[in-house]
Amino acid sequence: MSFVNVLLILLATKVGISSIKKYIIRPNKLKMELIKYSNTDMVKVVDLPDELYEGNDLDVKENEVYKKIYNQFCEVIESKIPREDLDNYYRNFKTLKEEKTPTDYMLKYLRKGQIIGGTYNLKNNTIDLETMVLSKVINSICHELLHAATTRVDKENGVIYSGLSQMFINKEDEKKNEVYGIGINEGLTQYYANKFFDPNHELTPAYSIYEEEQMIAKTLEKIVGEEKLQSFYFRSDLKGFVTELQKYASKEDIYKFINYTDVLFYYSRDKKLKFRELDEVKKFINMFLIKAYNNSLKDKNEGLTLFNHLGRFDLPYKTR
Amino acid sequence: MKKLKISINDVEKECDVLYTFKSHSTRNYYLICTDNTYNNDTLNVYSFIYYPNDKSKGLEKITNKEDWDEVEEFISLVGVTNEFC
Repeated sequence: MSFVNVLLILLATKVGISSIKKYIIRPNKLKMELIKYSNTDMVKVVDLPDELYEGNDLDVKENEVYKKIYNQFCEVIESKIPREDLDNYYRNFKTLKEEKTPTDYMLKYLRKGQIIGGTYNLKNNTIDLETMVLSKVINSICHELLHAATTRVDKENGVIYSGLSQMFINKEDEKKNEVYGIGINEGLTQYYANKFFDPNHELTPAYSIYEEEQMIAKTLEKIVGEEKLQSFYFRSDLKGFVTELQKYASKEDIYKFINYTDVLFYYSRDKKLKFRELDEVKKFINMFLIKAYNNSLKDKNEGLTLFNHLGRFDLPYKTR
Repeated sequence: MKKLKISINDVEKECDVLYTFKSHSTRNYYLICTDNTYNNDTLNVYSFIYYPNDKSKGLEKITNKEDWDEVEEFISLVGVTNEFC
Protein backbone atom coordinates (compact mmCIF):
# COMPACT_ATOMS: atom_id res chain seq x y z
CA MET A 1 0.00 0.00 0.00
CA SER A 2 1.44 3.31 -0.97
CA PHE A 3 2.00 6.23 1.36
CA VAL A 4 -0.77 8.17 -0.42
CA ASN A 5 -3.24 5.34 0.15
CA VAL A 6 -2.37 5.20 3.85
CA LEU A 7 -2.93 8.94 4.07
CA LEU A 8 -6.29 8.65 2.29
CA ILE A 9 -7.46 5.94 4.66
CA LEU A 10 -6.29 7.89 7.72
CA LEU A 11 -8.05 10.97 6.41
CA ALA A 12 -11.20 9.00 5.70
CA THR A 13 -11.19 7.53 9.19
CA LYS A 14 -10.74 10.94 10.73
CA VAL A 15 -13.70 12.47 8.88
CA GLY A 16 -15.84 9.45 9.58
CA ILE A 17 -16.11 7.88 6.16
CA SER A 18 -16.47 4.17 6.68
CA SER A 19 -15.03 3.06 3.37
CA ILE A 20 -13.38 4.69 0.43
CA LYS A 21 -13.28 3.33 -3.06
CA LYS A 22 -9.85 3.17 -4.51
CA TYR A 23 -9.49 3.71 -8.19
CA ILE A 24 -5.82 4.23 -8.34
CA ILE A 25 -4.06 3.12 -11.44
CA ARG A 26 -0.85 1.48 -10.46
CA PRO A 27 1.66 0.98 -13.23
CA ASN A 28 2.92 -2.55 -13.04
CA LYS A 29 6.06 -3.08 -14.99
CA LEU A 30 6.59 -6.49 -16.46
CA LYS A 31 10.26 -7.21 -16.09
CA MET A 32 11.88 -8.53 -19.22
CA GLU A 33 15.43 -9.58 -19.76
CA LEU A 34 16.76 -9.42 -23.27
CA ILE A 35 18.89 -12.47 -23.92
CA LYS A 36 21.62 -11.26 -26.21
CA TYR A 37 22.97 -14.14 -28.18
CA SER A 38 26.53 -13.65 -29.36
CA ASN A 39 27.65 -13.43 -32.97
CA THR A 40 29.09 -16.91 -32.70
CA ASP A 41 25.91 -18.49 -31.35
CA MET A 42 24.09 -20.70 -33.82
CA VAL A 43 20.75 -19.00 -34.10
CA LYS A 44 18.15 -20.40 -36.47
CA VAL A 45 14.50 -19.89 -37.05
CA VAL A 46 12.97 -23.35 -37.19
CA ASP A 47 9.41 -22.38 -37.92
CA LEU A 48 8.24 -19.01 -39.12
CA PRO A 49 4.46 -19.12 -39.44
CA ASP A 50 2.63 -17.26 -42.19
CA GLU A 51 0.41 -15.57 -39.65
CA LEU A 52 3.33 -13.35 -38.67
CA TYR A 53 3.01 -11.75 -42.07
CA GLU A 54 -0.74 -11.63 -42.28
CA GLY A 55 -2.52 -8.35 -41.86
CA ASN A 56 0.62 -6.26 -42.16
CA ASP A 57 -0.91 -4.45 -45.08
CA LEU A 58 -3.67 -3.05 -42.91
CA ASP A 59 -4.30 0.51 -43.86
CA VAL A 60 -3.95 2.39 -40.61
CA LYS A 61 -6.30 5.04 -41.95
CA GLU A 62 -9.07 2.48 -41.67
CA ASN A 63 -8.49 2.20 -38.00
CA GLU A 64 -11.47 3.65 -36.25
CA VAL A 65 -9.57 5.84 -33.84
CA TYR A 66 -7.21 7.12 -36.44
CA LYS A 67 -9.98 7.82 -38.89
CA LYS A 68 -11.86 9.84 -36.32
CA ILE A 69 -8.80 11.94 -35.52
CA TYR A 70 -8.02 12.35 -39.20
CA ASN A 71 -11.53 13.62 -39.98
CA GLN A 72 -11.51 15.91 -37.00
CA PHE A 73 -8.17 17.32 -38.10
CA CYS A 74 -9.42 18.07 -41.62
CA GLU A 75 -12.55 19.69 -40.28
CA VAL A 76 -10.62 22.01 -37.95
CA ILE A 77 -7.97 22.97 -40.51
CA GLU A 78 -10.49 23.69 -43.26
CA SER A 79 -12.59 25.82 -40.94
CA LYS A 80 -9.74 27.78 -39.35
CA ILE A 81 -7.23 28.34 -42.13
CA PRO A 82 -8.03 30.37 -45.25
CA ARG A 83 -8.22 28.30 -48.46
CA GLU A 84 -5.43 30.30 -50.13
CA ASP A 85 -2.98 29.08 -47.46
CA LEU A 86 -3.93 25.43 -47.85
CA ASP A 87 -2.36 24.40 -51.16
CA ASN A 88 0.17 22.15 -49.41
CA TYR A 89 -2.58 20.62 -47.31
CA TYR A 90 -4.85 19.78 -50.23
CA ARG A 91 -2.01 18.44 -52.36
CA ASN A 92 -0.50 16.24 -49.64
CA PHE A 93 -3.71 14.97 -48.14
CA LYS A 94 -4.88 13.56 -51.41
CA THR A 95 -1.81 11.34 -51.46
CA LEU A 96 -1.09 10.91 -47.76
CA LYS A 97 -0.16 7.37 -46.85
CA GLU A 98 0.43 5.84 -43.46
CA GLU A 99 3.43 3.62 -43.39
CA LYS A 100 2.33 0.13 -42.63
CA THR A 101 2.77 -0.68 -39.01
CA PRO A 102 2.42 -4.32 -37.97
CA THR A 103 -1.25 -4.70 -37.27
CA ASP A 104 -1.04 -6.76 -34.16
CA TYR A 105 1.34 -4.29 -32.56
CA MET A 106 -0.86 -1.35 -33.34
CA LEU A 107 -4.08 -3.02 -32.20
CA LYS A 108 -2.52 -4.56 -29.15
CA TYR A 109 -1.41 -1.18 -27.92
CA LEU A 110 -4.64 0.51 -28.82
CA ARG A 111 -6.42 -1.98 -26.59
CA LYS A 112 -3.91 -1.68 -23.84
CA GLY A 113 -4.20 2.05 -23.78
CA GLN A 114 -0.93 2.63 -25.51
CA ILE A 115 -0.62 3.60 -29.08
CA ILE A 116 1.72 4.80 -31.63
CA GLY A 117 2.68 8.36 -32.18
CA GLY A 118 5.15 9.37 -34.64
CA THR A 119 7.23 11.05 -37.18
CA TYR A 120 6.25 12.53 -40.47
CA ASN A 121 8.51 11.45 -43.28
CA LEU A 122 8.95 14.52 -45.43
CA LYS A 123 10.37 12.70 -48.38
CA ASN A 124 7.79 9.98 -48.81
CA ASN A 125 4.78 11.83 -47.43
CA THR A 126 4.18 9.07 -44.92
CA ILE A 127 3.56 8.98 -41.21
CA ASP A 128 5.52 6.51 -39.14
CA LEU A 129 4.06 5.52 -35.87
CA GLU A 130 5.72 4.53 -32.65
CA THR A 131 4.80 3.71 -29.07
CA MET A 132 3.20 6.20 -26.81
CA VAL A 133 0.41 6.50 -24.29
CA LEU A 134 -3.18 6.97 -25.38
CA SER A 135 -3.49 10.45 -23.93
CA LYS A 136 -0.90 11.62 -26.40
CA VAL A 137 -2.54 10.13 -29.46
CA ILE A 138 -4.73 12.90 -30.71
CA ASN A 139 -2.21 15.59 -30.05
CA SER A 140 0.62 13.57 -31.51
CA ILE A 141 -1.21 12.56 -34.67
CA CYS A 142 -2.41 16.13 -35.17
CA HIS A 143 1.19 17.29 -34.78
CA GLU A 144 2.32 14.89 -37.53
CA LEU A 145 -0.65 15.74 -39.73
CA LEU A 146 0.26 19.41 -39.38
CA HIS A 147 3.71 18.59 -40.76
CA ALA A 148 2.02 16.74 -43.60
CA ALA A 149 -0.25 19.72 -44.25
CA THR A 150 2.62 22.20 -44.45
CA THR A 151 5.22 20.45 -46.56
CA ARG A 152 6.22 20.86 -50.17
CA VAL A 153 9.12 19.32 -52.06
CA ASP A 154 11.30 21.13 -54.58
CA LYS A 155 12.84 18.12 -56.29
CA GLU A 156 14.79 20.20 -58.80
CA ASN A 157 16.77 22.03 -56.13
CA GLY A 158 16.73 19.22 -53.61
CA VAL A 159 14.95 21.20 -50.91
CA ILE A 160 12.02 20.18 -48.75
CA TYR A 161 10.08 23.07 -47.27
CA SER A 162 8.14 22.13 -44.18
CA GLY A 163 6.37 24.87 -42.25
CA LEU A 164 9.12 27.30 -41.36
CA SER A 165 11.95 24.83 -41.83
CA GLN A 166 13.95 23.82 -44.87
CA MET A 167 15.72 20.56 -45.46
CA PHE A 168 18.56 20.46 -47.95
CA ILE A 169 18.81 16.96 -49.34
CA ASN A 170 22.16 15.27 -49.68
CA LYS A 171 21.54 12.96 -52.59
CA GLU A 172 24.48 10.73 -51.76
CA ASP A 173 23.79 10.24 -48.07
CA GLU A 174 20.40 10.84 -46.53
CA LYS A 175 21.91 11.07 -43.06
CA LYS A 176 23.80 14.17 -44.18
CA ASN A 177 20.64 16.10 -45.01
CA GLU A 178 20.78 19.55 -43.44
CA VAL A 179 17.79 21.10 -41.76
CA TYR A 180 17.40 24.78 -41.01
CA GLY A 181 14.61 26.19 -38.86
CA ILE A 182 13.63 22.90 -37.23
CA GLY A 183 13.43 24.46 -33.74
CA ILE A 184 10.96 27.15 -34.77
CA ASN A 185 9.02 24.72 -36.90
CA GLU A 186 8.62 22.05 -34.22
CA GLY A 187 7.66 24.68 -31.65
CA LEU A 188 5.14 26.22 -33.98
CA THR A 189 3.72 22.83 -34.99
CA GLN A 190 3.20 21.79 -31.37
CA TYR A 191 1.85 25.24 -30.52
CA TYR A 192 -0.74 24.92 -33.31
CA ALA A 193 -1.50 21.30 -32.39
CA ASN A 194 -2.36 22.54 -28.89
CA LYS A 195 -4.11 25.68 -30.03
CA PHE A 196 -6.32 24.04 -32.65
CA PHE A 197 -6.85 20.58 -31.24
CA ASP A 198 -6.21 20.80 -27.51
CA PRO A 199 -7.24 24.29 -26.43
CA ASN A 200 -8.28 23.14 -22.96
CA HIS A 201 -4.98 21.38 -22.30
CA GLU A 202 -6.78 18.05 -21.93
CA LEU A 203 -4.16 16.05 -23.69
CA THR A 204 -1.34 16.62 -21.27
CA PRO A 205 1.48 15.66 -21.03
CA ALA A 206 1.71 15.95 -24.80
CA TYR A 207 0.86 19.60 -24.34
CA SER A 208 4.21 20.30 -22.81
CA ILE A 209 6.27 18.79 -25.60
CA TYR A 210 8.71 21.29 -27.13
CA GLU A 211 7.96 23.68 -24.30
CA GLU A 212 10.73 26.19 -24.95
CA GLU A 213 10.18 26.11 -28.70
CA GLN A 214 6.46 26.70 -28.11
CA MET A 215 7.25 29.74 -25.98
CA ILE A 216 9.28 31.10 -28.89
CA ALA A 217 6.44 30.32 -31.33
CA LYS A 218 3.93 32.10 -29.14
CA THR A 219 6.12 35.20 -28.98
CA LEU A 220 6.65 35.14 -32.74
CA GLU A 221 2.88 35.11 -33.12
CA LYS A 222 2.74 38.31 -31.07
CA ILE A 223 5.46 39.93 -33.14
CA VAL A 224 4.37 38.95 -36.63
CA GLY A 225 0.64 38.64 -35.98
CA GLU A 226 -1.55 35.56 -35.70
CA GLU A 227 -2.85 35.42 -39.27
CA LYS A 228 0.42 36.29 -40.96
CA LEU A 229 2.40 33.70 -39.03
CA GLN A 230 -0.19 31.02 -39.80
CA SER A 231 -0.04 31.95 -43.45
CA PHE A 232 3.79 31.70 -43.61
CA TYR A 233 3.63 28.38 -41.80
CA PHE A 234 0.93 26.75 -43.91
CA ARG A 235 2.48 28.04 -47.13
CA SER A 236 5.90 26.83 -45.87
CA ASP A 237 7.24 30.27 -46.64
CA LEU A 238 10.35 30.75 -44.52
CA LYS A 239 11.58 33.46 -46.86
CA GLY A 240 8.37 35.47 -46.42
CA PHE A 241 8.62 35.01 -42.68
CA VAL A 242 12.19 36.33 -42.61
CA THR A 243 11.21 39.31 -44.78
CA GLU A 244 8.34 40.10 -42.40
CA LEU A 245 10.60 39.82 -39.36
CA GLN A 246 13.06 42.21 -40.99
CA LYS A 247 10.64 44.99 -40.13
CA TYR A 248 11.63 44.44 -36.52
CA ALA A 249 15.14 43.01 -36.59
CA SER A 250 18.22 42.84 -38.79
CA LYS A 251 18.56 40.00 -41.29
CA GLU A 252 21.78 38.90 -39.61
CA ASP A 253 20.08 38.66 -36.20
CA ILE A 254 17.10 36.82 -37.68
CA TYR A 255 19.31 34.12 -39.21
CA LYS A 256 21.26 33.86 -35.97
CA PHE A 257 18.00 33.58 -34.02
CA ILE A 258 16.72 30.77 -36.26
CA ASN A 259 20.04 29.00 -36.00
CA TYR A 260 20.15 29.33 -32.21
CA THR A 261 16.60 28.00 -31.92
CA ASP A 262 17.81 24.93 -33.84
CA VAL A 263 20.68 24.56 -31.38
CA LEU A 264 18.20 24.76 -28.51
CA PHE A 265 16.02 22.14 -30.19
CA TYR A 266 18.88 19.69 -30.70
CA TYR A 267 20.22 20.29 -27.21
CA SER A 268 16.89 19.54 -25.55
CA ARG A 269 16.41 16.40 -27.69
CA ASP A 270 19.86 15.01 -27.08
CA LYS A 271 21.50 15.87 -23.79
CA LYS A 272 24.64 14.12 -24.94
CA LEU A 273 25.23 17.02 -27.23
CA LYS A 274 27.46 19.28 -25.20
CA PHE A 275 26.95 22.92 -25.81
CA ARG A 276 28.84 25.08 -23.37
CA GLU A 277 27.31 28.28 -24.58
CA LEU A 278 23.71 27.16 -24.12
CA ASP A 279 23.09 30.05 -21.73
CA GLU A 280 24.40 32.44 -24.35
CA VAL A 281 22.03 30.88 -26.87
CA LYS A 282 19.04 31.35 -24.59
CA LYS A 283 20.10 34.90 -23.74
CA PHE A 284 20.38 35.78 -27.40
CA ILE A 285 16.98 34.25 -28.20
CA ASN A 286 15.41 36.17 -25.31
CA MET A 287 17.00 39.45 -26.28
CA PHE A 288 16.08 38.97 -29.92
CA LEU A 289 12.43 38.29 -29.08
CA ILE A 290 12.18 41.16 -26.60
CA LYS A 291 13.76 43.59 -29.07
CA ALA A 292 11.67 42.43 -32.02
CA TYR A 293 8.51 42.46 -29.91
CA ASN A 294 9.22 45.96 -28.70
CA ASN A 295 9.88 47.11 -32.26
CA SER A 296 6.64 45.52 -33.40
CA LEU A 297 4.76 47.43 -30.70
CA LYS A 298 6.30 50.66 -31.95
CA ASP A 299 5.25 49.67 -35.44
CA LYS A 300 1.70 49.17 -34.25
CA ASN A 301 1.85 52.45 -32.30
CA GLU A 302 1.47 50.49 -29.12
CA GLY A 303 5.00 51.05 -27.88
CA LEU A 304 5.66 52.28 -24.42
CA THR A 305 5.42 56.05 -24.35
CA LEU A 306 6.34 56.58 -20.72
CA PHE A 307 8.23 59.80 -20.14
CA ASN A 308 7.87 60.85 -23.74
CA HIS A 309 6.24 64.05 -22.55
CA LEU A 310 9.25 64.91 -20.49
CA GLY A 311 11.78 67.23 -21.99
CA ARG A 312 15.45 66.89 -21.47
CA PHE A 313 15.45 69.23 -18.49
CA ASP A 314 12.17 68.09 -17.02
CA LEU A 315 13.29 64.97 -15.23
CA PRO A 316 10.91 64.25 -12.38
CA TYR A 317 13.65 63.68 -9.85
CA LYS A 318 16.81 65.65 -9.49
CA THR A 319 19.76 63.47 -8.82
CA ARG A 320 21.72 66.24 -7.17
CA MET B 1 -0.71 -15.16 -29.58
CA LYS B 2 1.47 -15.69 -32.62
CA LYS B 3 4.11 -18.34 -32.22
CA LEU B 4 7.41 -19.19 -33.80
CA LYS B 5 10.12 -21.74 -33.23
CA ILE B 6 13.76 -20.76 -32.91
CA SER B 7 16.90 -22.68 -32.19
CA ILE B 8 19.87 -21.32 -30.28
CA ASN B 9 22.95 -23.55 -30.30
CA ASP B 10 20.76 -26.48 -31.29
CA VAL B 11 18.33 -25.94 -28.44
CA GLU B 12 14.87 -25.45 -29.85
CA LYS B 13 12.55 -22.98 -28.20
CA GLU B 14 8.91 -22.41 -28.95
CA CYS B 15 8.26 -18.73 -28.55
CA ASP B 16 5.32 -16.37 -28.31
CA VAL B 17 5.67 -13.18 -30.29
CA LEU B 18 5.32 -10.25 -27.92
CA TYR B 19 6.04 -7.19 -30.03
CA THR B 20 7.09 -6.05 -33.42
CA PHE B 21 8.16 -2.48 -33.93
CA LYS B 22 10.07 -0.19 -36.21
CA SER B 23 13.00 1.94 -35.15
CA HIS B 24 13.33 5.32 -36.74
CA SER B 25 17.01 5.61 -36.08
CA THR B 26 18.11 2.25 -37.53
CA ARG B 27 15.10 2.01 -39.87
CA ASN B 28 14.84 -1.67 -39.04
CA TYR B 29 11.83 -3.63 -37.85
CA TYR B 30 12.36 -5.86 -34.83
CA LEU B 31 10.51 -8.81 -33.43
CA ILE B 32 10.58 -9.60 -29.73
CA CYS B 33 9.52 -13.02 -28.54
CA THR B 34 9.67 -15.08 -25.38
CA ASP B 35 10.01 -18.77 -24.65
CA ASN B 36 8.05 -18.05 -21.44
CA THR B 37 10.95 -18.94 -19.20
CA TYR B 38 11.78 -16.77 -16.22
CA ASN B 39 14.95 -15.86 -14.46
CA ASN B 40 13.65 -15.13 -10.97
CA ASP B 41 10.78 -12.74 -11.77
CA THR B 42 12.18 -11.65 -15.08
CA LEU B 43 10.79 -12.92 -18.36
CA ASN B 44 13.44 -14.00 -20.84
CA VAL B 45 12.97 -12.41 -24.25
CA TYR B 46 14.75 -12.70 -27.57
CA SER B 47 14.87 -10.35 -30.49
CA PHE B 48 15.49 -10.47 -34.22
CA ILE B 49 15.43 -8.15 -37.19
CA TYR B 50 12.15 -8.69 -38.98
CA TYR B 51 10.90 -7.88 -42.48
CA PRO B 52 7.13 -7.56 -42.08
CA ASN B 53 6.45 -7.40 -45.78
CA ASP B 54 8.87 -10.05 -46.99
CA LYS B 55 8.74 -13.50 -45.46
CA SER B 56 11.48 -14.79 -47.74
CA LYS B 57 14.03 -12.75 -45.79
CA GLY B 58 13.11 -14.62 -42.62
CA LEU B 59 14.34 -13.32 -39.29
CA GLU B 60 17.82 -11.93 -39.12
CA LYS B 61 20.24 -12.22 -36.21
CA ILE B 62 21.03 -8.99 -34.43
CA THR B 63 24.73 -8.49 -34.66
CA ASN B 64 25.49 -4.91 -33.76
CA LYS B 65 25.22 -2.75 -30.68
CA GLU B 66 23.01 -0.13 -32.32
CA ASP B 67 20.30 -2.71 -32.96
CA TRP B 68 20.56 -4.19 -29.46
CA ASP B 69 20.31 -0.68 -27.99
CA GLU B 70 17.11 -0.01 -29.93
CA VAL B 71 15.52 -3.20 -28.67
CA GLU B 72 16.62 -2.51 -25.11
CA GLU B 73 15.18 0.97 -25.27
CA PHE B 74 11.91 -0.39 -26.60
CA ILE B 75 11.73 -2.96 -23.83
CA SER B 76 12.29 -0.26 -21.25
CA LEU B 77 9.29 1.62 -22.67
CA VAL B 78 6.83 -1.23 -22.95
CA GLY B 79 5.82 -3.86 -20.51
CA VAL B 80 3.75 -1.48 -18.47
CA THR B 81 0.32 -2.80 -17.67
CA ASN B 82 -2.31 -0.90 -15.77
CA GLU B 83 -4.23 -2.62 -13.05
CA PHE B 84 -6.87 -1.40 -10.66
CA CYS B 85 -6.19 -2.00 -7.02
